[in-house]
Amino acid sequence: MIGTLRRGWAFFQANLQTVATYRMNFLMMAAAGLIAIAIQVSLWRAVFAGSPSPVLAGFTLDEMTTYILTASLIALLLNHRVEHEVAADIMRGDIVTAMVRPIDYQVQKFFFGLPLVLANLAFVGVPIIALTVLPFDMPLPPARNVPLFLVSVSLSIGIAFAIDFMIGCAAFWTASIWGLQVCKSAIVFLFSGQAIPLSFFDGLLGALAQALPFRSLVYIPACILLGKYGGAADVTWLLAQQCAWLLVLLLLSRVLWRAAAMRLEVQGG
Amino acid sequence: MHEALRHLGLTWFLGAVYLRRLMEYRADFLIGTVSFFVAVSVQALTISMVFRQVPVVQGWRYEEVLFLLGFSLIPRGLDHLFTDNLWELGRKFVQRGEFFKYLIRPVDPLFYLISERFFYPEGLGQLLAGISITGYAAMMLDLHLSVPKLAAAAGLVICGAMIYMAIKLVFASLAFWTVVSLPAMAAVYELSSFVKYPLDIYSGAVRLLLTWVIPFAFTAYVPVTYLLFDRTDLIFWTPLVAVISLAIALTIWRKGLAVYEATGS
Repeated sequence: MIGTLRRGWAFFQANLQTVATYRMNFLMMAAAGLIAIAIQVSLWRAVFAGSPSPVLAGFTLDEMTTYILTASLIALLLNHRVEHEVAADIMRGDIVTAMVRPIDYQVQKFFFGLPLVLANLAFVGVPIIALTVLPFDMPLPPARNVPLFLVSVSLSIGIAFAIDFMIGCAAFWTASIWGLQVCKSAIVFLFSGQAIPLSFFDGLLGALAQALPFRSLVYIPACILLGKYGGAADVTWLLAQQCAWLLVLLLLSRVLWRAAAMRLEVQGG
Repeated sequence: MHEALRHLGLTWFLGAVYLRRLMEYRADFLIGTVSFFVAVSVQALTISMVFRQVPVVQGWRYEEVLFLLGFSLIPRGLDHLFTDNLWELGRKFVQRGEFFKYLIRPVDPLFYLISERFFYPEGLGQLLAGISITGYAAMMLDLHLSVPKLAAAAGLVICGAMIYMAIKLVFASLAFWTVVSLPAMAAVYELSSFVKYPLDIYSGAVRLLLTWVIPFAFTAYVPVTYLLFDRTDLIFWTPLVAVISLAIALTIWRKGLAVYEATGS
């Protein structure tokens, strides 16, 4: 275990320097993020102004504003780019070297992807918070929700990793993962709660939103931070859902990985 | 005059070349097209869920907002289709010393620069997605436009594309002074996403910015309020703003070019 962590740390450091050179990208992401938040907040202000009820799908305007900011920040943490790393490894043939190393491939990729997550938080998240919460006196969530929120977000990061890893594995079978990635991004954007809180979904879409794992990525942690749950039992159930999906998806990603690796051995790679 | 005609002929020829290249890389073209459809569909779906809660937002109904959403993509896509290479000027051409090649051919450098990415697949996807959504919304609104109004719509779309090109050109040209201008270019371009929703929902400062400083409002909001609500208060400004923006952009481009050549690169 210690050995794995120590070896993993090496991969973390390896990517840290590379990530630090992408300052320009972070600037652009911060600008884009701020604009997206401004648009959404303006839209919802107008919607609530025209609404007979001060609560829509269980959200007040204040809660919606906090939700928009929270969802944007959580989305930053889920941006591993693992699928690109895995696909690139496969395309370049580096996958063979990677598999020979005395550390599990998935663990390698996880530690390798962490600097980006942290850099996103530091260079995109913090500026966004500084430019929205402070100047505009935005409503803050209650501090007592933060510890459980951190637990929930950690689970989200794991789930996002598992999903992206599987997308990357698709490179074993297709020439390019671009198309698959586009579809996945759109589906995740909608069903994770980034576009609009999932409580607005009804009918078939609502059922789909409940059944898919993506609500565990953004909607559940955001709701926990906002305190939108019934009580201790409720929040335990939400976290349990996340844990369950994390285990299922990690298992699935390993099965997929084994299938892909087997194919590699057969091809004499 | 002769120069203009020659460049027109080149446009025709290069257009055919790149169109053929597009067909060769059909997978890329299809994915690029589908990706915009998917993105705008998600936006349309989100908006439909918003409107299930309230019937009207700032005087706009769902179908009208959908029309605006789709229409905003048309000039954007049209510009994207032709001038995508401007991004590369902001990103790397000056930095890597690759820009000089645009100066040594007997063609206008700006034309040469943008012609390298004529018929960019993503642009076509954006354009098609925009036209589809607009058409769908028009159908839901039972919108019947008279022939003069349709002609005006086409003209307004072209003005919109000119505005997009002008703004991109201004910030790409900054690279002649700052070597890399991509962050500024991307940030300003991102401001255009404000105009996919009715300008009425934004604060006065934002509306002012998007109308008279970075005039994206003239690419979507002004044309659509004319087509849907017959509002004519700003409509005649549209071609004026388009021409003036392009004139300013070309001036900055030429100044930047002079600076670049003067440094003996």
